[in-house]
Amino acid sequence: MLDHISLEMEKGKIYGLRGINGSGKTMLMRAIAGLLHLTEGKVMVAGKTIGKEISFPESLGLFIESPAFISRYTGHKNLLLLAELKEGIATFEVEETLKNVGLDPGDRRTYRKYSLGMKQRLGIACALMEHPELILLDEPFNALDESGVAQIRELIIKEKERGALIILSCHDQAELESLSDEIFYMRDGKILS
Amino acid sequence: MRFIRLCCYDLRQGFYKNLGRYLFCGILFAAFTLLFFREIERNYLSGVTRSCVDYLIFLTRGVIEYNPESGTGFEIPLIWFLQNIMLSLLVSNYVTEDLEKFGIQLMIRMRRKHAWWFSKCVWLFSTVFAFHMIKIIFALGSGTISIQANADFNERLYGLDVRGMSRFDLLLFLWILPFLTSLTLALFQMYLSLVLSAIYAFILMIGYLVVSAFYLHPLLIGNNTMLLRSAFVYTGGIDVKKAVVITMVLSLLVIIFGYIKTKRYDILERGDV
Repeated sequence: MLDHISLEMEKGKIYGLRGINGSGKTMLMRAIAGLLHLTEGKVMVAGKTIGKEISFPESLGLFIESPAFISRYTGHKNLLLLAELKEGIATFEVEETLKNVGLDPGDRRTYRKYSLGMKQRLGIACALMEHPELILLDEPFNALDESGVAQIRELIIKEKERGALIILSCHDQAELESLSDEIFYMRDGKILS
Repeated sequence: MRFIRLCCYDLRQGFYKNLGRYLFCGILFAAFTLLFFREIERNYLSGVTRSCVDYLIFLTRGVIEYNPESGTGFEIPLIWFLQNIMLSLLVSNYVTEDLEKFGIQLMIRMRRKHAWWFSKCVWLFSTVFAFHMIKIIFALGSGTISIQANADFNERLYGLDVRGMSRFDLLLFLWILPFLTSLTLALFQMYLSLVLSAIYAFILMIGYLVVSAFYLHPLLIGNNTMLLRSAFVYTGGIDVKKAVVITMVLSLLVIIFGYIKTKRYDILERGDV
């Protein structure tokens, strides 16, 4: 449950969420993404109320709790399928994003044969491939090796420089502090500071 | 255009997921066909001309209304029951699984939650249609292609007098009403699976079917697909035209409720469990 949270966030910044398990970080991200039906209060993104004027933020990249993909498709095919729905994103952009997260677009292996780290990278590619205005990343560094962490960190910074608003939750305090412009500490569904 | 793409995704994924179940459907109808032939042989009717309609009557015969005071035990018509269970299995968990997995990414790209629900309704329609097509394929292989029943054949085989049924009545009862009834039940199950869970929805549907076999009531729409409980052969039975209207109204209501539910749905909630 989220309790009296009032936040205003700006484009081109990274906001970190920190707190113990169950403190409400993921729940807050879900609420911002429009995945939750709020019983009270409202979330506004780019001047539009989520759940009333629009179901989801118009330009959203979402990575919450390791997203699942179609297991018999390759990572490339999974992303192409999603890109088709969104329109306005070319195949080469999908391939470029895959390369940027350290995956080979020509890899013939299906998603079910991916390692945990590869699945994580694909999920991040999925969130970033359309260069959305709002990016929600819940524990993006989980299961990644050192080079993976560096690659994703670099990508996040690039997206920030492009002007995206990024909300990031991460258990690694040093990582969160190095990336975030501002950090919110959460406990029991409340923002402490 | 994007909605059509979403529908195509659901049709493809849903079909792939249900491939094994469709195969099982084929086996089930093959078994029913064997039973049909066995009954024909047992009643020395092998030489009598029969049509696909007679096979459909065999499948939708059902049982007469249960009367607890009659002293006879309660009996669920197995062929009727298994058909409905099979359809229930086809519906079961595709929607909830999609919602907990890939569906979230689809939804945020569609930017409308209800587009996801309507796409699932299209998938469900196609699933029910495919189920009935399998049935029809077996029906066509079980007798001559006709839209008329062989009255003598049915009278000798089941003691059923279908002479009073016109071609239109047969069309309505054997082709249209079963499809509409299946569609309504499937929609209801899909809605329940969102509200509760796929497994509870499946269990509730089994319960609903058992109650349908126990009581004769127009709102227990399982009765719609039992010829022995229709007004054609049983006074006080189900009026087919009313049943068509009831199933259509119920289907529409479930689609509307699903639309409302989806708009207010907390996505990912179940993924936490």
